[in-house]
Amino acid sequence: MSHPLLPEVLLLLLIFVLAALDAWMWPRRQGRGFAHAGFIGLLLPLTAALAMWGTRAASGLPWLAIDPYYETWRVLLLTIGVLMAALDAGRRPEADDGAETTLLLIAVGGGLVCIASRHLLLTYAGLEITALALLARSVRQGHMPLPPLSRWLTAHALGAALLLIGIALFALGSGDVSYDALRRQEPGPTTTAGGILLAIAVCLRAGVAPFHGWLAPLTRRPGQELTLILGLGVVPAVAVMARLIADPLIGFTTLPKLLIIVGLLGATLGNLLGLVQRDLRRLLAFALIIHTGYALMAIGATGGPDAHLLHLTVAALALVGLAAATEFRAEQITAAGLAARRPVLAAAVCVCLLSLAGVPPLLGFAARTRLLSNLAEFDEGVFVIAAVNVALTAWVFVAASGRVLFAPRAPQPPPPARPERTAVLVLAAGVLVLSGLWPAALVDLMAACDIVP
Amino acid sequence: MSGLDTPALVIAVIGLPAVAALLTLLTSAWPTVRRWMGVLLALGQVVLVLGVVSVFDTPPSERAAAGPLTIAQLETALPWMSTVEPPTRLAVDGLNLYALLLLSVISLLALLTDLVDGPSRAGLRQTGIFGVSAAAAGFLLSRDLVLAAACHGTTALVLALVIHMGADARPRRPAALSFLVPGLLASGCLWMAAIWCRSASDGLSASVDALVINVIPSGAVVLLTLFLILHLPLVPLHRWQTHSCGEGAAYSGILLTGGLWTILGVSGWLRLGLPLSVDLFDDVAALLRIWGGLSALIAVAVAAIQRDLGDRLRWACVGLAGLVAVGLGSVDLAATSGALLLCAALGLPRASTLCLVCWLPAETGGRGLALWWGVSVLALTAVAGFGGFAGLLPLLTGGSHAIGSVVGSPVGPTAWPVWACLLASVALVGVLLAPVSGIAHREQTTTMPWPLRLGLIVAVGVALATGWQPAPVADWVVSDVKRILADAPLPTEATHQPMDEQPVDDPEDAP
Amino acid sequence: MTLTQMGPLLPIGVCATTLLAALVPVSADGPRRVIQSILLGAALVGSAAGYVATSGTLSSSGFGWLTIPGRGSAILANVYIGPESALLIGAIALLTLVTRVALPPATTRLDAGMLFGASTAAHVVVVGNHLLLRLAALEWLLLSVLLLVLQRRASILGLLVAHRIAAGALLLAALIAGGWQVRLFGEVTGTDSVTWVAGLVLLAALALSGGFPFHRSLLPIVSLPAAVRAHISGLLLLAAGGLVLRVVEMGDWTGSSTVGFGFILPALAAAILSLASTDLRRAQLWAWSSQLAFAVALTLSTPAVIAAGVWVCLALVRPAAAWAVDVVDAALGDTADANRWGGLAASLPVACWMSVLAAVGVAGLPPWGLFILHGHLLATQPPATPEFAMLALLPALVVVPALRLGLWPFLGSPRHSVLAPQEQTAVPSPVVATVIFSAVIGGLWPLTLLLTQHLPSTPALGTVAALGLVLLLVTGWVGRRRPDVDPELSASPLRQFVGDGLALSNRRFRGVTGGLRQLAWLVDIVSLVPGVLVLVCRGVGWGVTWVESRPLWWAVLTTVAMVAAILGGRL
Repeated sequence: MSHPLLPEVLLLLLIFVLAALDAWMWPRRQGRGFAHAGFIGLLLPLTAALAMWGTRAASGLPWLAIDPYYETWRVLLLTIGVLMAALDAGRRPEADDGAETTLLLIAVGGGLVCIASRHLLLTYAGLEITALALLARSVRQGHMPLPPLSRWLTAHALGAALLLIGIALFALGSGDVSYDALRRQEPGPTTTAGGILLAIAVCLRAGVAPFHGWLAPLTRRPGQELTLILGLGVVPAVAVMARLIADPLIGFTTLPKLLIIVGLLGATLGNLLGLVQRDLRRLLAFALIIHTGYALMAIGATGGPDAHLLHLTVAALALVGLAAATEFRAEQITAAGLAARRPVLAAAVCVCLLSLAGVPPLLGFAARTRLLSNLAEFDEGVFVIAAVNVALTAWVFVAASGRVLFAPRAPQPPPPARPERTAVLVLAAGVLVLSGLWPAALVDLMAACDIVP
Repeated sequence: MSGLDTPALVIAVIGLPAVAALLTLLTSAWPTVRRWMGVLLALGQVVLVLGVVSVFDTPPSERAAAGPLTIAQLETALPWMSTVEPPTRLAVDGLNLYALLLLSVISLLALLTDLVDGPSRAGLRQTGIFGVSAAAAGFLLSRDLVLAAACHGTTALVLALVIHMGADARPRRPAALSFLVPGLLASGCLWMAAIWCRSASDGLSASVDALVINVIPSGAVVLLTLFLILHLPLVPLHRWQTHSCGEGAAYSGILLTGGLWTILGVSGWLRLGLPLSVDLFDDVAALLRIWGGLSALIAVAVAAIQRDLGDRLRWACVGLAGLVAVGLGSVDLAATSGALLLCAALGLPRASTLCLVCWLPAETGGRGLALWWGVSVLALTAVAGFGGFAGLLPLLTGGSHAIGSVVGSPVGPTAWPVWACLLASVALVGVLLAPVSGIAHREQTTTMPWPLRLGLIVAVGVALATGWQPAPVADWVVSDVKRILADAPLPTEATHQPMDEQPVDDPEDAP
Repeated sequence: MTLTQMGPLLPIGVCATTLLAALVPVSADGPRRVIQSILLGAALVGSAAGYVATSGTLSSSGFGWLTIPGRGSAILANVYIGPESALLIGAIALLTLVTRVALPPATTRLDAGMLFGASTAAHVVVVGNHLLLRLAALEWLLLSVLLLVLQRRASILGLLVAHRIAAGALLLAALIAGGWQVRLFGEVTGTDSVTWVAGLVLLAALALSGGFPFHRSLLPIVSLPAAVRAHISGLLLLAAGGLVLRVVEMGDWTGSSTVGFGFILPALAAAILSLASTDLRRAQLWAWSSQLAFAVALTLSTPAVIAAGVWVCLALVRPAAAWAVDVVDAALGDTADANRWGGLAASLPVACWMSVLAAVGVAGLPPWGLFILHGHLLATQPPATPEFAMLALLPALVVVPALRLGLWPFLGSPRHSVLAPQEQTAVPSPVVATVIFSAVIGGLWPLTLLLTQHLPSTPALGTVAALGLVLLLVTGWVGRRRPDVDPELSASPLRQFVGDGLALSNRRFRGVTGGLRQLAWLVDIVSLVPGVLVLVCRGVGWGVTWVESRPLWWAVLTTVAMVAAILGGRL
């Protein structure tokens, strides 16, 4: 027996168990037990999700689309969760907090909800759950000073407000804001305005240029925290955008071309900013901006879901892997000359950076190939501009990996050695390499996803 | 069909070095085991390629004919990027056969030469050598442009890493980066061209056999030409040759770069690029001829004033690349075949001589070393009696004939690239032999390491053997070049008749 | 298999045997010398058999060598043997054997191997059928010469330039002969192709063996030991002879006396240099250069079988001449100043005999050496005509310098004491025997033409004999009574910059000697041309390097050049 929601049920159970345990054990702490429990616990729903991946057609549940597209995202988000839990396990024992693990799981759940959602309110709920869980986790960790937090809170609040207003405008029409109802609705000025506000809100959540300003202060955070925010907070928002575009809802029919322009703008901006950037954390943020831009272009080109899925997969895995190399406090983390001190770590960091660069034989190459193929069929001029951007991206991240390998040994100490972090980094790098050497399996699975259930 | 004549051979040619790379990584902690295993596997690769050579059908019979282009043998299809789209094809043809043989031999030599770099990072270097071998084999065998671009990019990346892991602690110039940037740029050009061509066709297959029947965008042709040029160290894009094989680079990296990189580009362009460029080939050919001729002349002049032996040699290699460019741009069976043969024949001598010059300490010399240098120079500069001459002769003969027929007039100011080639090829011998005096009059304080000596012996031996019996290699190449050029819009005598000889339309014949 | 059937294979056997001698793997000196001598002796016997077997021209089947796709069948690598080429390879074999015996004991195995490898290459240059095959052998020959020259510290730039010109000319000739670029030279017909090919081959022959204006290319060999010096110059001479003799067989070249006599000018120039030089070794080198040009002129004007004898004679007397010069040089304290020449016959009798034998062989005093051959040249014109008179004086170009070098150091009363002890000037007996044997063979060889009844007319023979004797007497008389050479000689700054040019007397127009030196100095201006060309090329190289080091300039110039090329191509 395999219920389509088995992984979600397991996740929910895990959340409840950990929350209950934490409440019961508070204020006593047991080392890194919660982090390890979260890691092992997350393996169960991940295993179930992997077993179900690509095996079932869309199943009709009210307001939830458990379709192949969602299954792909489920695997991705759970994988991110597992890896982040493993990174948690590698932190200092006295920093362990059961609530942080629980909040991590909640963030994962929220991401799943917003992707599976077929109702605007549910989408809003999912996004909010994720954002608030991440925010709460950051606050509990107690490292964040007020100014960067306030910028993030402001952006979050603005996004939430725009989302609600947009939903409200949609609701003025028929009262039902499910996707099926909205598809049948007649277009009008309120629905158009609602669509625009909805798009802006999602772009704000996704950190798409020019709405990316809230990312900058977060780049001073330790790498793991930054990655969590980017990986679980930003990436699912792109999936939401894909759903909204693919489903020809009112007001979104003219958006594909606009998405391409926005995507190009984001990628170009990210490339230009990344050219002069030496700090690895900022580079991670720009990497996500760039890949989000590419994903939006792929969505706008309407060539198939594999292109944007691959980009986000690459971005997520690389970010998680690089989190391990940036998990310490410093004014600037460059990883320059890391190869001279920690060769294995440096090799894995380079794999992640080169995967972001899109060079073969890593997964990023397949992602770029699919994207450029779609754009070439869409329009030659866009293809040429995108090709230039791809070259710039390659330059940015190849140069970064060159600094890791070739630069003289920097005075900055390397990140402290933790087996869990090294394992996460090597695992992420390994997936990027193996799936890059033989991308057919992954590409076929992703290409077979229909975004519209 | 014999037991050897299976497409699995093609997979094995790529798979064996890939597996060897992995095994090397796993056995890095045991140097002796790693080294012996590496040598055995490299020898196995040579034997494997010789097996492919033995089953290759030359001259090709009808049963091996496939498609309008090169005669692909031992063809195999595998789904690489996607199982839904047409699978990517791997095959052996006359244009990549010698390159595969060269690759296997150079990989073995690189493995042995790696001993000169010392034990530090030897495991990683050995892994890199096998990685380069696997990726380059994939590139050479691929008939799909996207797979070829992926393999090419991998080759560039791994080779840059091998170059970087030299014995010197801190090179003055970043040899690896000098190579990596143009290498990845070339991969990018091929990649973009592949996607662009595929979108211009049915959008499904990036195989050259499928794309060739469609109209190819001009931008794609430009990218494919740029792909070729980035492999030929033509002035001013020559720095990867002068820097990457210089100070600080690993010997094995120098061997691989010097021996392989240009032949990869030329062979790849002839197989994948030229068939798609035929519509615009007049412009491309003119560009190659002029650029090649100028580059050859400039390189010879600059080489003549270099005091450092290594710089002099590297500039000479730049000059030789100009000859190849002129040959490729001549749109003539003899010249194009000659260019490929020249390029292939110079691989081993160039690689071994570059290694020798990087090793040569300033204080050592002797008459014996001078003799080695002299013979290597003769092999490198394609003088008569060595393998390169079997390519230079048709290059000069065919190039002049083609230019004469293109211009349509007996006067030859536009034939100057061929004269430049002749002058450069003759002058380069003198330029490279001039330092022999300094080498001969120094005391011999150190002996040449045996891997370098072995490399020189193999290079000179192969050059002499192919110099006096070039027929087998030429037979592999000529039939495929002929097929490709058959589709090129070669100008005929009739289209270039002088004005006063052109037939006048009779108005009475009008409908 | 009869000797005639074996004919084409014998040269291959000779080449192989000589190559084996070069590659003998024995490290002990004594056994190695014996084995090499045996092998080279076998090569000599084989070449003699080859001469006997080839009453006509023969060629072996060979093997397919180079192909030009789309241009017909493969170029064959096979040998072409005729009486002339058989004669030449016999001379090479004898020269090599003499060198083996005469090599100093300190000669390394590598140098000996290179010497005999060079001989093998010279064999192939002579008997190779296709120009490209000869070119391949020529490259090996030139490399061997280059490496042998490096036994001493000397500038090899001139040698390299001359060698490259020779190789380039031969390559171009091969390409034209193969039908290449006929259209590049305007409306060229078949005859004109032959003209180009012949001209290029002759140029290659001159450049290869140090003919004027490439005479300075062989300057590095003057400091080499006698055996090596004679071997190198002899091999190069015979290789050049092989090339020139082949040219004669092309098309309408028999009877092309006009072109042949054009080569008198290089002979004259080199003779002037030799007569004006005060350094014994250099004077000999210029004399050899003069002999080369004279031989080319003779070959183009007379039947091939006669001309072949010229080359053989000139090559085989060189060991004797070189040894004599070395002994005199050692005896006079390694200065070879012309003011010290004289009266050495009593103190150096062996060297004197060797020198005299070599000199009379070149001078053509009856019945030696070029006597018969000069007669053939004279016999082409009717007697008592202005042309006859002119032709009679032409051999003076080689006779006078040879007699000067051969006789002046030994005639008359001693002008300087012999500084070196006896053991330094003594020549080992085997060396004396083989060197004199070679000189005798070279000197008497032309007499074999009597056996084939190739006799010139009596007036011609008589005129040559008379002129030879007169020149001998005059040269001897001048040698006894000659004044001292002006010691204050300096080379101009330009000549010092591009290479050590001929020094000029400060007291100009001082008699015959001063006038001769003025004339030689003017002739030697030609030798500055290669140096100037090299300077120009270096200037271009420096210019390009300077621009390349400035990225902005480089980028701008590159862009301008590419735009201009594209626009020019489109226009």
